[in-house]
Amino acid sequence: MPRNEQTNRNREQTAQHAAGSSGESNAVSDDAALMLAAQRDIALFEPLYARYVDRIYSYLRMRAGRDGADEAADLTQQVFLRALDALPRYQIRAGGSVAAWLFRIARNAATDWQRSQRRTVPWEAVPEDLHPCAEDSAESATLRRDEIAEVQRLLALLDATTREALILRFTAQLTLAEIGAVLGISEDAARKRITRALHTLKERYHAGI
Amino acid sequence: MPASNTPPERYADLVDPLGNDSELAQMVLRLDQALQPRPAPSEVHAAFAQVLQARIAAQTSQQQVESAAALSRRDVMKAAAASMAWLLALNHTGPEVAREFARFAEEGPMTGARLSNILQVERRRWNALLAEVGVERMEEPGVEGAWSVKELIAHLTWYERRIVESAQQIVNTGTDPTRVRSGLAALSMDERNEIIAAESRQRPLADVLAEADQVFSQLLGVIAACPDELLNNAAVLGLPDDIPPWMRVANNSYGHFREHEASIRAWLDRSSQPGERRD
Repeated sequence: MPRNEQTNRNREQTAQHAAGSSGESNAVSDDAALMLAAQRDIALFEPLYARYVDRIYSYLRMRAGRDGADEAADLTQQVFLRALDALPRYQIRAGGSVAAWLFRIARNAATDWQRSQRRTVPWEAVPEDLHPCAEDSAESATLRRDEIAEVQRLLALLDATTREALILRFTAQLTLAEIGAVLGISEDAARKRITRALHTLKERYHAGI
Repeated sequence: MPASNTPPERYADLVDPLGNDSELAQMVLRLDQALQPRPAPSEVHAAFAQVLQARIAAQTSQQQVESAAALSRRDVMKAAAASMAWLLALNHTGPEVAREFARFAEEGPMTGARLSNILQVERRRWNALLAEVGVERMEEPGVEGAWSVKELIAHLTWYERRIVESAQQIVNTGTDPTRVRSGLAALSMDERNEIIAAESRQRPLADVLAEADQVFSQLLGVIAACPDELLNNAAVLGLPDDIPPWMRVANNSYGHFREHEASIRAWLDRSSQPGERRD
């Protein structure tokens, strides 16, 4: 076996050993184990990258606005570069979350970019390239598109902070505690913000507002 | 719209507390469909792979340089025997730490991997204590004497750095730069400690914390490069039989940290008493 291949396999095994068995309920401790492994061997950062890249990109795609596909790709690269730079300083703590750490980096990157653009990116709609891939019939795909368009319209009516909390939950798939950590609010405040938004959306949806 | 009317399990914390509100569950499903993450473009992966490969190459290159600079094991032993005795002058071992060291020693020779693991576990404990303090309180004076937590961290880092520098030099070249005392090391311990604390008072907290992390990373690096024999053979180093070199390392790292941990905990307890002023 070529040496590089052997090295990669060893690293993969080390990462798997560090992460233990995978499973959603163990995601936080798995992440901590992967971080610890990556701090000792930077090649072992790859499993964390693979775990989060799609969610980071999709979050940034939302933040970058309708025509921001290229910017979102650039920002995603920046986020992981910043994460690699910060990796040695990451402190593994009880109750800490790698996901929250990464999304704080992503949020800062998006905010820096928006400031550099000296503008607020308007929320026109969920970017079309983020629409779910239709695996259903043409009829149900049409229905799906109509529903999504309606949800987009309702989201556009929400204030930016409420919208971001929803994106962190539904796109980034963070827990309420992690959302709190990213936004600098308590878990309870995050829960209230999202629950209130859901009620508002539900009422507006049925009222046709 | 959705094939199922039940939102995925991951939204239970949003839907369950709201009882049987089916309309709300439907809205959760709609949002799940509309906002679900999509794959990042392939160019993102390609760019990251390039960056990661470059970082791996840099890390490997550094390890090769360190390896090439190392002397033979015999040379290292001979050199170390003549140069690590100064570590004995630092006495941080309390009874609890001494008992722990004795227990480790009874369990067999220390390996670099095991020592590294012990140091990391202890450092997580220390970091948990710092998290309990919180960055906003780290510059409050009066934690131990007049010192703040920031000054304590700088103090601990200075001694840990001495161990790192000494061990790096011994492993790589066989000479110990710390054997000949100069600068702060040439002063009495009290004088030295006061100067370290005074200097740290002028430094931003973030710098002090970052330096502590950096030195600890260096410590792990040098332990990884140190032959296990060097960690265990007290006679070769000219140390008393019951004090193998790994104890000297542990003593000036987490053994020292534990000594000051008690002061921080006592200060936290004092400041949490009713009526205690925190300003």
